[in-house]
Amino acid sequence: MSYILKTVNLTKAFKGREAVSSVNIHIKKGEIYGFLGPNGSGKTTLMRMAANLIKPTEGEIEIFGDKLTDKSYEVLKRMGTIIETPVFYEKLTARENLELHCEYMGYYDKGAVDKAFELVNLKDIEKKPVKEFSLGMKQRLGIARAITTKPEFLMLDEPINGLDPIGIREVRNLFKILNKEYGITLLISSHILGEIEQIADTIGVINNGRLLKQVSMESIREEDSEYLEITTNNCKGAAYVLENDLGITNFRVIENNCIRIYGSSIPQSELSKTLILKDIAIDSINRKDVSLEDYFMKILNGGGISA
Amino acid sequence: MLKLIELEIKKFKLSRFIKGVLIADLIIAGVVVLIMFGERAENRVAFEDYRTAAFIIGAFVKMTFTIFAAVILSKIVIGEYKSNTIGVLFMYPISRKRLIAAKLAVVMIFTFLSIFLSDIFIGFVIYVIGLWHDLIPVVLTAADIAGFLRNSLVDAAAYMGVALAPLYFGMRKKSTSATIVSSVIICSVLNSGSGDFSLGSIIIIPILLAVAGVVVAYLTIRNIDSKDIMV
Repeated sequence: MSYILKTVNLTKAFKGREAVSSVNIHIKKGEIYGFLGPNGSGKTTLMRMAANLIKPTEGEIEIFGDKLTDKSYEVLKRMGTIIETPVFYEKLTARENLELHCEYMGYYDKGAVDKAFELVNLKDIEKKPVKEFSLGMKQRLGIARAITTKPEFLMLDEPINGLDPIGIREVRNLFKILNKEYGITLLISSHILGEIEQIADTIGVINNGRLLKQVSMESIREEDSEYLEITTNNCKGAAYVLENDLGITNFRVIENNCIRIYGSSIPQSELSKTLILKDIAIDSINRKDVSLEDYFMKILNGGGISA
Repeated sequence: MLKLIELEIKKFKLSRFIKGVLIADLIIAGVVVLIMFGERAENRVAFEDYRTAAFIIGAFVKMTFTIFAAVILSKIVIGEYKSNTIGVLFMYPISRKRLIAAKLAVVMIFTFLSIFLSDIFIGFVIYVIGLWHDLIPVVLTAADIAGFLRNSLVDAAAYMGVALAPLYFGMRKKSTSATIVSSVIICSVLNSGSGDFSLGSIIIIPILLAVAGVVVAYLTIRNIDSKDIMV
Protein backbone atom coordinates (compact mmCIF):
# COMPACT_ATOMS: atom_id res chain seq x y z
CA MET A 1 0.00 0.00 0.00
CA SER A 2 1.37 3.42 -0.81
CA TYR A 3 1.56 5.95 1.97
CA ILE A 4 1.75 9.67 1.43
CA LEU A 5 3.10 10.25 4.88
CA LYS A 6 4.69 7.66 7.08
CA THR A 7 6.69 8.15 10.22
CA VAL A 8 8.88 5.64 11.97
CA ASN A 9 9.40 6.11 15.70
CA LEU A 10 9.28 9.84 15.19
CA THR A 11 10.40 11.71 18.27
CA LYS A 12 10.96 15.38 18.93
CA ALA A 13 12.27 16.68 22.22
CA PHE A 14 12.54 20.30 23.23
CA LYS A 15 15.09 20.83 25.97
CA GLY A 16 14.82 17.20 26.99
CA ARG A 17 11.03 17.14 27.12
CA GLU A 18 9.43 15.01 24.46
CA ALA A 19 6.69 16.80 22.55
CA VAL A 20 6.29 13.88 20.16
CA SER A 21 7.32 10.40 21.28
CA SER A 22 7.94 7.54 18.87
CA VAL A 23 4.96 8.15 16.67
CA ASN A 24 4.24 5.81 13.79
CA ILE A 25 1.65 7.43 11.63
CA HIS A 26 0.47 6.07 8.30
CA ILE A 27 -1.47 8.23 5.91
CA LYS A 28 -2.72 6.44 2.84
CA LYS A 29 -2.90 8.02 -0.55
CA GLY A 30 -6.31 9.46 -1.26
CA GLU A 31 -7.70 9.48 2.24
CA ILE A 32 -8.66 12.19 4.68
CA TYR A 33 -6.73 11.62 7.84
CA GLY A 34 -8.10 13.25 10.96
CA PHE A 35 -5.57 14.04 13.58
CA LEU A 36 -7.28 14.31 16.93
CA GLY A 37 -5.83 15.40 20.20
CA PRO A 38 -6.18 17.99 22.93
CA ASN A 39 -4.26 21.24 22.81
CA GLY A 40 -0.57 20.77 23.31
CA SER A 41 -0.66 17.08 22.48
CA GLY A 42 1.97 17.30 19.77
CA LYS A 43 -0.15 17.63 16.61
CA THR A 44 1.45 20.85 15.47
CA THR A 45 4.95 19.67 16.29
CA LEU A 46 4.43 16.60 14.17
CA MET A 47 3.10 18.66 11.27
CA ARG A 48 6.01 21.05 11.53
CA MET A 49 8.33 18.11 11.23
CA ALA A 50 6.47 16.84 8.19
CA ALA A 51 6.77 20.29 6.61
CA ASN A 52 10.50 20.14 7.31
CA LEU A 53 10.38 23.25 9.47
CA ILE A 54 11.72 21.49 12.52
CA LYS A 55 13.93 18.45 12.60
CA PRO A 56 13.22 15.19 14.40
CA THR A 57 15.30 14.29 17.42
CA GLU A 58 14.89 10.64 16.48
CA GLY A 59 13.06 8.59 13.91
CA GLU A 60 12.22 9.12 10.30
CA ILE A 61 9.63 10.73 8.10
CA GLU A 62 8.76 9.46 4.67
CA ILE A 63 6.77 11.67 2.35
CA PHE A 64 5.66 10.38 -1.04
CA GLY A 65 7.84 7.37 -0.31
CA ASP A 66 11.05 9.35 0.13
CA LYS A 67 12.88 9.98 3.32
CA LEU A 68 12.73 13.58 4.45
CA THR A 69 16.14 15.16 5.00
CA ASP A 70 17.48 18.67 5.59
CA LYS A 71 17.84 19.04 1.88
CA SER A 72 14.40 17.80 0.83
CA TYR A 73 13.09 20.86 -0.91
CA GLU A 74 11.51 19.43 -4.02
CA VAL A 75 8.98 17.48 -2.01
CA LEU A 76 7.58 20.75 -0.62
CA LYS A 77 6.35 21.60 -4.09
CA ARG A 78 3.79 18.81 -3.83
CA MET A 79 2.44 19.89 -0.47
CA GLY A 80 0.11 22.59 0.74
CA THR A 81 0.37 23.43 4.39
CA ILE A 82 -1.18 25.57 7.08
CA ILE A 83 0.46 25.42 10.45
CA GLU A 84 -1.30 27.14 13.32
CA THR A 85 -2.82 30.47 12.32
CA PRO A 86 -1.81 31.18 8.75
CA VAL A 87 0.58 34.13 8.40
CA PHE A 88 0.85 36.43 5.43
CA TYR A 89 2.75 39.45 4.29
CA GLU A 90 0.31 41.74 5.99
CA LYS A 91 0.90 44.83 3.91
CA LEU A 92 0.21 43.05 0.66
CA THR A 93 -3.26 42.24 -0.61
CA ALA A 94 -4.63 38.71 -0.70
CA ARG A 95 -3.95 38.48 -4.41
CA GLU A 96 -0.38 39.72 -4.06
CA ASN A 97 0.21 37.17 -1.32
CA LEU A 98 -1.05 34.33 -3.46
CA GLU A 99 0.83 35.47 -6.53
CA LEU A 100 3.99 35.62 -4.48
CA HIS A 101 3.22 32.10 -3.25
CA CYS A 102 2.89 30.83 -6.82
CA GLU A 103 6.18 32.46 -7.81
CA TYR A 104 8.04 30.84 -4.95
CA MET A 105 6.37 27.50 -5.61
CA GLY A 106 7.31 27.75 -9.25
CA TYR A 107 3.69 27.41 -10.27
CA TYR A 108 2.57 29.44 -13.23
CA ASP A 109 -1.10 29.27 -14.01
CA LYS A 110 -2.85 32.57 -14.47
CA GLY A 111 -6.25 31.40 -13.31
CA ALA A 112 -5.03 29.54 -10.24
CA VAL A 113 -5.40 32.42 -7.81
CA ASP A 114 -8.94 33.26 -8.90
CA LYS A 115 -9.88 29.62 -8.79
CA ALA A 116 -8.58 29.35 -5.23
CA PHE A 117 -10.50 32.45 -4.11
CA GLU A 118 -13.60 30.97 -5.64
CA LEU A 119 -13.14 27.60 -3.93
CA VAL A 120 -12.82 29.12 -0.47
CA ASN A 121 -15.49 31.71 -1.24
CA LEU A 122 -13.43 34.84 -0.61
CA LYS A 123 -14.96 37.93 -2.16
CA ASP A 124 -14.50 41.70 -2.16
CA ILE A 125 -10.93 41.55 -1.03
CA GLU A 126 -9.15 43.10 -3.96
CA LYS A 127 -8.08 46.39 -2.42
CA LYS A 128 -7.56 45.38 1.19
CA PRO A 129 -4.18 44.56 2.67
CA VAL A 130 -4.26 41.29 4.59
CA LYS A 131 -3.74 43.04 7.93
CA GLU A 132 -7.34 44.24 7.73
CA PHE A 133 -8.67 40.70 7.40
CA SER A 134 -10.61 38.98 10.17
CA LEU A 135 -9.35 35.69 11.58
CA GLY A 136 -11.97 33.78 9.60
CA MET A 137 -10.93 35.48 6.37
CA LYS A 138 -7.29 34.77 7.06
CA GLN A 139 -8.17 31.15 7.66
CA ARG A 140 -9.93 31.01 4.29
CA LEU A 141 -7.06 32.78 2.64
CA GLY A 142 -4.69 30.32 4.23
CA ILE A 143 -6.66 27.44 2.77
CA ALA A 144 -6.73 29.25 -0.58
CA ARG A 145 -2.99 29.63 -0.49
CA ALA A 146 -2.49 26.00 0.40
CA ILE A 147 -4.61 24.79 -2.52
CA THR A 148 -3.63 27.30 -5.25
CA THR A 149 -0.84 25.16 -6.55
CA LYS A 150 -2.95 21.97 -6.62
CA PRO A 151 -0.81 20.00 -4.20
CA GLU A 152 -1.09 16.23 -3.84
CA PHE A 153 -0.98 16.40 -0.08
CA LEU A 154 -2.66 19.01 2.08
CA MET A 155 -1.64 19.38 5.67
CA LEU A 156 -3.97 21.63 7.62
CA ASP A 157 -3.48 22.41 11.28
CA GLU A 158 -6.79 23.34 12.94
CA PRO A 159 -8.19 24.75 9.69
CA ILE A 160 -11.59 25.42 11.17
CA ASN A 161 -10.39 27.79 13.88
CA GLY A 162 -12.00 31.17 13.64
CA LEU A 163 -14.67 30.17 11.14
CA ASP A 164 -18.37 30.70 11.75
CA PRO A 165 -20.78 27.75 11.50
CA ILE A 166 -21.56 28.48 7.85
CA GLY A 167 -17.88 28.79 7.14
CA ILE A 168 -17.22 25.50 8.84
CA ARG A 169 -19.77 23.75 6.67
CA GLU A 170 -18.40 25.36 3.50
CA VAL A 171 -14.88 24.41 4.35
CA ARG A 172 -15.90 20.88 5.24
CA ASN A 173 -17.54 20.50 1.85
CA LEU A 174 -14.48 21.98 0.22
CA PHE A 175 -12.28 19.36 1.86
CA LYS A 176 -14.55 16.64 0.56
CA ILE A 177 -14.44 18.10 -2.94
CA LEU A 178 -10.66 18.42 -2.86
CA ASN A 179 -10.44 14.84 -1.72
CA LYS A 180 -12.97 13.28 -4.06
CA GLU A 181 -12.62 15.37 -7.20
CA TYR A 182 -9.00 16.42 -7.10
CA GLY A 183 -7.73 13.26 -5.43
CA ILE A 184 -5.86 15.24 -2.80
CA THR A 185 -4.80 13.45 0.36
CA LEU A 186 -5.58 15.50 3.45
CA LEU A 187 -4.23 15.57 6.95
CA ILE A 188 -6.48 17.66 9.14
CA SER A 189 -5.82 18.22 12.79
CA SER A 190 -8.31 19.29 15.36
CA HIS A 191 -9.03 19.12 19.04
CA ILE A 192 -12.73 18.88 18.33
CA LEU A 193 -13.94 15.40 17.42
CA GLY A 194 -17.16 16.61 15.83
CA GLU A 195 -15.22 18.36 13.10
CA ILE A 196 -13.13 15.39 12.25
CA GLU A 197 -15.57 12.51 12.42
CA GLN A 198 -17.72 13.87 9.64
CA ILE A 199 -15.01 13.92 7.03
CA ALA A 200 -12.17 11.70 8.08
CA ASP A 201 -11.55 8.25 6.68
CA THR A 202 -8.97 7.46 9.29
CA ILE A 203 -8.45 8.97 12.69
CA GLY A 204 -5.24 9.17 14.63
CA VAL A 205 -5.58 10.03 18.28
CA ILE A 206 -2.61 11.70 19.86
CA ASN A 207 -2.07 12.73 23.43
CA ASN A 208 1.03 13.77 25.34
CA GLY A 209 3.04 13.25 22.20
CA ARG A 210 1.98 9.64 21.77
CA LEU A 211 -0.17 8.21 19.05
CA LEU A 212 -2.74 6.29 21.09
CA LYS A 213 -4.83 4.88 18.32
CA GLN A 214 -4.99 4.89 14.57
CA VAL A 215 -8.20 3.51 13.25
CA SER A 216 -10.45 3.77 10.23
CA MET A 217 -13.82 5.41 10.79
CA GLU A 218 -15.48 2.52 9.04
CA SER A 219 -14.27 0.03 11.57
CA ILE A 220 -15.33 2.25 14.46
CA ARG A 221 -18.79 2.52 13.03
CA GLU A 222 -19.09 -1.21 12.54
CA GLU A 223 -17.68 -2.02 15.89
CA ASP A 224 -20.03 -1.95 18.85
CA SER A 225 -21.81 1.13 17.83
CA GLU A 226 -25.08 0.06 19.38
CA TYR A 227 -26.00 -2.04 22.35
CA LEU A 228 -28.80 -3.02 24.68
CA GLU A 229 -28.24 -2.38 28.32
CA ILE A 230 -30.09 -4.53 30.81
CA THR A 231 -30.14 -3.66 34.47
CA THR A 232 -30.94 -6.57 36.72
CA ASN A 233 -29.93 -7.84 40.13
CA ASN A 234 -29.51 -11.34 38.79
CA CYS A 235 -26.72 -10.97 36.31
CA LYS A 236 -25.61 -14.57 36.45
CA GLY A 237 -29.04 -15.88 35.69
CA ALA A 238 -29.55 -13.36 32.94
CA ALA A 239 -26.26 -14.28 31.33
CA TYR A 240 -27.22 -17.95 31.44
CA VAL A 241 -30.54 -17.29 29.78
CA LEU A 242 -29.01 -15.09 27.12
CA GLU A 243 -26.53 -17.71 26.16
CA ASN A 244 -28.63 -20.83 26.37
CA ASP A 245 -32.11 -19.73 25.47
CA LEU A 246 -31.43 -16.88 23.10
CA GLY A 247 -28.09 -17.90 21.67
CA ILE A 248 -26.50 -14.54 22.32
CA THR A 249 -22.79 -14.65 22.96
CA ASN A 250 -21.68 -11.10 22.28
CA PHE A 251 -22.49 -9.55 25.62
CA ARG A 252 -20.56 -8.22 28.50
CA VAL A 253 -21.29 -7.95 32.20
CA ILE A 254 -20.35 -4.39 33.01
CA GLU A 255 -21.04 -4.13 36.69
CA ASN A 256 -22.77 -6.48 39.09
CA ASN A 257 -26.17 -5.45 37.89
CA CYS A 258 -25.65 -4.45 34.29
CA ILE A 259 -25.26 -6.41 31.06
CA ARG A 260 -24.57 -4.98 27.61
CA ILE A 261 -25.57 -6.92 24.50
CA TYR A 262 -23.84 -5.94 21.30
CA GLY A 263 -24.86 -6.38 17.71
CA SER A 264 -27.89 -8.48 18.43
CA SER A 265 -30.84 -8.63 16.11
CA ILE A 266 -33.22 -9.99 18.72
CA PRO A 267 -35.92 -7.43 19.44
CA GLN A 268 -36.13 -5.85 22.83
CA SER A 269 -39.63 -7.22 23.53
CA GLU A 270 -38.53 -10.78 22.83
CA LEU A 271 -35.59 -10.34 25.10
CA SER A 272 -37.55 -9.01 28.03
CA LYS A 273 -40.25 -11.62 27.61
CA THR A 274 -37.78 -14.47 27.69
CA LEU A 275 -35.98 -13.11 30.69
CA ILE A 276 -39.16 -12.53 32.64
CA LEU A 277 -40.46 -15.98 31.83
CA LYS A 278 -37.23 -17.37 33.24
CA ASP A 279 -38.01 -15.44 36.40
CA ILE A 280 -35.27 -12.88 36.08
CA ALA A 281 -36.31 -9.47 37.34
CA ILE A 282 -35.41 -6.64 35.05
CA ASP A 283 -35.12 -3.11 36.39
CA SER A 284 -34.63 -1.54 33.02
CA ILE A 285 -33.74 -2.31 29.46
CA ASN A 286 -32.44 0.35 27.11
CA ARG A 287 -31.04 0.66 23.63
CA LYS A 288 -27.98 2.86 23.55
CA ASP A 289 -25.43 4.24 21.12
CA VAL A 290 -21.76 4.36 21.81
CA SER A 291 -21.02 7.85 20.61
CA LEU A 292 -17.70 8.47 19.00
CA GLU A 293 -17.17 11.00 21.70
CA ASP A 294 -17.27 8.21 24.30
CA TYR A 295 -15.07 6.07 22.14
CA PHE A 296 -12.34 8.66 21.92
CA MET A 297 -12.70 9.89 25.46
CA LYS A 298 -12.10 6.31 26.49
CA ILE A 299 -8.93 6.19 24.43
CA LEU A 300 -7.73 9.49 25.75
CA ASN A 301 -8.47 8.54 29.33
CA GLY A 302 -6.76 5.21 28.87
CA GLY A 303 -3.75 7.29 27.90
CA GLY A 304 -3.49 8.57 31.41
CA ILE A 305 -5.34 11.85 31.57
CA SER A 306 -8.63 12.55 33.19
CA ALA A 307 -11.38 14.14 31.23
CA MET B 1 18.98 33.89 -7.66
CA LEU B 2 18.02 37.01 -9.59
CA LYS B 3 14.45 35.84 -9.44
CA LEU B 4 14.63 35.49 -5.67
CA ILE B 5 16.12 38.97 -5.32
CA GLU B 6 13.36 40.34 -7.48
CA LEU B 7 10.75 38.62 -5.31
CA GLU B 8 12.26 40.11 -2.16
CA ILE B 9 12.07 43.59 -3.66
CA LYS B 10 8.49 43.02 -4.69
CA LYS B 11 7.46 41.46 -1.40
CA PHE B 12 8.72 44.32 0.75
CA LYS B 13 8.01 47.04 -1.79
CA LEU B 14 11.64 48.08 -1.55
CA SER B 15 11.35 50.43 -4.49
CA ARG B 16 9.95 52.89 -1.96
CA PHE B 17 13.45 53.19 -0.57
CA ILE B 18 14.64 54.90 -3.76
CA LYS B 19 12.60 57.92 -2.77
CA GLY B 20 14.09 57.79 0.71
CA VAL B 21 17.59 57.69 -0.73
CA LEU B 22 16.89 60.73 -2.90
CA ILE B 23 15.52 62.71 0.02
CA ALA B 24 18.52 61.75 2.15
CA ASP B 25 20.85 62.82 -0.66
CA LEU B 26 19.21 66.22 -0.88
CA ILE B 27 19.42 66.69 2.88
CA ILE B 28 23.11 65.72 2.93
CA ALA B 29 23.84 68.09 0.05
CA GLY B 30 21.90 70.81 1.86
CA VAL B 31 23.86 70.32 5.07
CA VAL B 32 27.20 70.42 3.24
CA VAL B 33 26.15 73.58 1.39
CA LEU B 34 25.10 75.13 4.70
CA ILE B 35 28.51 74.32 6.17
CA MET B 36 30.19 76.02 3.20
CA PHE B 37 28.08 79.17 3.43
CA GLY B 38 28.33 79.20 7.21
CA GLU B 39 32.09 79.22 7.14
CA ARG B 40 32.12 81.91 4.48
CA ALA B 41 29.89 84.12 6.65
CA GLU B 42 32.72 84.05 9.18
CA ASN B 43 35.27 84.74 6.48
CA ARG B 44 36.66 81.22 6.57
CA VAL B 45 36.83 78.52 3.93
CA ALA B 46 35.03 75.28 4.70
CA PHE B 47 37.05 73.12 2.33
CA GLU B 48 40.57 74.03 1.41
CA ASP B 49 40.43 71.65 -1.52
CA TYR B 50 38.19 69.05 -3.14
CA ARG B 51 39.76 66.23 -1.21
CA THR B 52 38.44 67.59 2.10
CA ALA B 53 35.01 68.18 0.60
CA ALA B 54 34.97 64.63 -0.71
CA PHE B 55 35.93 63.35 2.72
CA ILE B 56 33.03 65.11 4.42
CA ILE B 57 30.54 64.00 1.77
CA GLY B 58 31.83 60.43 2.00
CA ALA B 59 31.43 60.40 5.77
CA PHE B 60 27.85 61.61 5.62
CA VAL B 61 26.92 59.20 2.85
CA LYS B 62 28.50 56.17 4.49
CA MET B 63 26.80 56.81 7.82
CA THR B 64 23.43 57.50 6.33
CA PHE B 65 23.26 54.54 4.02
CA THR B 66 24.77 51.98 6.35
CA ILE B 67 21.91 52.80 8.69
CA PHE B 68 19.49 52.69 5.78
CA ALA B 69 20.87 49.27 4.93
CA ALA B 70 20.35 48.16 8.54
CA VAL B 71 16.72 49.22 8.28
CA ILE B 72 16.31 47.09 5.16
CA LEU B 73 18.19 44.22 6.76
CA SER B 74 15.95 44.29 9.81
CA LYS B 75 12.89 44.48 7.61
CA ILE B 76 13.62 41.65 5.23
CA VAL B 77 15.58 39.25 7.44
CA ILE B 78 14.71 39.91 11.09
CA GLY B 79 11.20 41.07 10.16
CA GLU B 80 10.40 37.72 8.54
CA TYR B 81 11.33 35.95 11.75
CA LYS B 82 9.36 38.36 13.89
CA SER B 83 6.21 38.16 11.82
CA ASN B 84 6.56 34.37 11.49
CA THR B 85 6.45 34.57 7.70
CA ILE B 86 9.83 32.85 7.73
CA GLY B 87 7.86 29.64 8.26
CA VAL B 88 5.94 30.28 5.07
CA LEU B 89 9.13 31.13 3.23
CA PHE B 90 10.94 28.03 4.40
CA MET B 91 8.12 25.78 3.26
CA TYR B 92 8.87 26.69 -0.33
CA PRO B 93 10.79 24.25 -2.46
CA ILE B 94 13.90 26.41 -2.35
CA SER B 95 16.96 25.91 -0.20
CA ARG B 96 16.97 28.05 2.91
CA LYS B 97 20.53 29.10 2.15
CA ARG B 98 19.53 30.55 -1.17
CA LEU B 99 16.52 32.31 0.31
CA ILE B 100 18.63 34.04 2.97
CA ALA B 101 21.48 34.68 0.55
CA ALA B 102 19.02 36.50 -1.73
CA LYS B 103 18.03 38.74 1.17
CA LEU B 104 21.63 39.52 2.07
CA ALA B 105 22.36 40.19 -1.58
CA VAL B 106 19.57 42.76 -1.62
CA VAL B 107 21.17 44.54 1.35
CA MET B 108 24.63 44.44 -0.23
CA ILE B 109 23.46 45.68 -3.59
CA PHE B 110 21.52 48.47 -1.93
CA THR B 111 24.52 49.53 0.15
CA PHE B 112 26.88 49.53 -2.79
CA LEU B 113 24.62 51.44 -5.15
CA SER B 114 23.33 53.93 -2.61
CA ILE B 115 26.83 54.84 -1.40
CA PHE B 116 28.46 55.00 -4.81
CA LEU B 117 25.67 56.83 -6.61
CA SER B 118 25.02 59.22 -3.72
CA ASP B 119 28.70 60.15 -3.55
CA ILE B 120 28.64 61.03 -7.23
CA PHE B 121 25.32 62.85 -7.04
CA ILE B 122 26.15 64.91 -3.95
CA GLY B 123 29.70 65.48 -5.15
CA PHE B 124 28.33 66.88 -8.35
CA VAL B 125 25.84 69.15 -6.56
CA ILE B 126 28.54 70.49 -4.24
CA TYR B 127 30.91 71.04 -7.14
CA VAL B 128 28.33 73.03 -9.08
CA ILE B 129 27.26 75.16 -6.11
CA GLY B 130 30.88 75.64 -5.03
CA LEU B 131 31.84 76.78 -8.50
CA TRP B 132 28.84 79.06 -8.75
CA HIS B 133 29.50 80.86 -5.49
CA ASP B 134 33.23 80.40 -5.56
CA LEU B 135 33.23 78.46 -2.29
CA ILE B 136 36.20 76.18 -2.90
CA PRO B 137 39.38 78.10 -3.60
CA VAL B 138 41.10 75.60 -5.91
CA VAL B 139 40.54 74.24 -9.37
CA LEU B 140 39.14 70.71 -9.77
CA THR B 141 41.73 68.47 -11.40
CA ALA B 142 41.32 65.17 -13.21
CA ALA B 143 43.34 63.58 -10.39
CA ASP B 144 40.77 64.87 -7.88
CA ILE B 145 37.96 63.23 -9.81
CA ALA B 146 39.84 59.97 -10.25
CA GLY B 147 40.72 59.90 -6.56
CA PHE B 148 37.16 60.69 -5.59
CA LEU B 149 35.73 57.91 -7.74
CA ARG B 150 38.29 55.43 -6.53
CA ASN B 151 37.68 56.20 -2.87
CA SER B 152 33.98 56.10 -3.42
CA LEU B 153 34.18 52.66 -5.05
CA VAL B 154 36.37 51.30 -2.27
CA ASP B 155 33.99 52.71 0.37
CA ALA B 156 30.94 51.31 -1.36
CA ALA B 157 32.55 47.89 -1.67
CA ALA B 158 33.82 47.78 1.92
CA TYR B 159 30.51 48.95 3.33
CA MET B 160 28.66 46.15 1.56
CA GLY B 161 30.26 43.93 4.16
CA VAL B 162 29.96 46.43 7.02
CA ALA B 163 26.21 46.60 6.36
CA LEU B 164 25.90 42.88 7.15
CA ALA B 165 27.64 43.09 10.53
CA PRO B 166 24.47 44.18 12.43
CA LEU B 167 22.98 40.83 11.47
CA TYR B 168 25.03 39.29 14.26
CA PHE B 169 23.35 41.44 16.91
CA GLY B 170 19.94 41.33 15.31
CA MET B 171 19.74 37.56 14.87
CA ARG B 172 20.57 36.72 18.47
CA LYS B 173 17.22 37.80 19.77
CA LYS B 174 15.56 38.42 16.43
CA SER B 175 15.38 42.09 17.28
CA THR B 176 14.95 44.84 14.71
CA SER B 177 16.02 47.53 17.15
CA ALA B 178 19.24 45.70 18.02
CA THR B 179 20.01 45.51 14.31
CA ILE B 180 19.56 49.21 13.72
CA VAL B 181 21.19 50.37 16.95
CA SER B 182 24.26 48.22 16.35
CA SER B 183 24.52 49.68 12.88
CA VAL B 184 24.37 53.23 14.27
CA ILE B 185 27.10 52.38 16.77
CA ILE B 186 29.34 50.80 14.12
CA CYS B 187 28.92 53.85 11.90
CA SER B 188 29.57 56.36 14.63
CA VAL B 189 32.72 54.57 15.69
CA LEU B 190 33.98 54.29 12.12
CA ASN B 191 33.26 57.88 11.22
CA SER B 192 34.26 59.58 14.44
CA GLY B 193 37.47 61.58 14.52
CA SER B 194 38.65 65.07 13.94
CA GLY B 195 39.42 67.02 10.79
CA ASP B 196 39.92 64.69 7.91
CA PHE B 197 40.88 61.81 10.12
CA SER B 198 38.49 59.11 11.31
CA LEU B 199 38.83 55.50 12.30
CA GLY B 200 37.27 54.62 8.99
CA SER B 201 39.95 56.43 7.08
CA ILE B 202 42.48 53.85 8.16
CA ILE B 203 41.30 51.64 5.33
CA ILE B 204 42.16 48.42 7.12
CA ILE B 205 39.45 49.03 9.71
CA PRO B 206 36.43 49.17 7.42
CA ILE B 207 37.93 46.26 5.50
CA LEU B 208 38.23 44.22 8.69
CA LEU B 209 34.65 45.08 9.56
CA ALA B 210 33.55 44.20 6.06
CA VAL B 211 35.21 40.82 6.44
CA ALA B 212 33.57 40.42 9.84
CA GLY B 213 30.20 41.26 8.28
CA VAL B 214 30.64 38.66 5.59
CA VAL B 215 31.74 36.08 8.17
CA VAL B 216 28.65 36.82 10.25
CA ALA B 217 26.48 36.42 7.20
CA TYR B 218 28.16 33.13 6.40
CA LEU B 219 27.69 31.84 9.94
CA THR B 220 24.04 32.83 9.82
CA ILE B 221 23.48 30.86 6.67
CA ARG B 222 25.76 27.92 7.35
CA ASN B 223 23.55 25.86 9.66
CA ILE B 224 20.21 27.20 8.58
CA ASP B 225 19.10 23.95 6.92
CA SER B 226 19.15 22.04 10.18
CA LYS B 227 17.67 24.80 12.37
CA ASP B 228 14.23 24.44 13.88
CA ILE B 229 11.87 27.13 12.72
CA MET B 230 9.35 27.72 15.46
CA VAL B 231 6.58 29.78 14.00
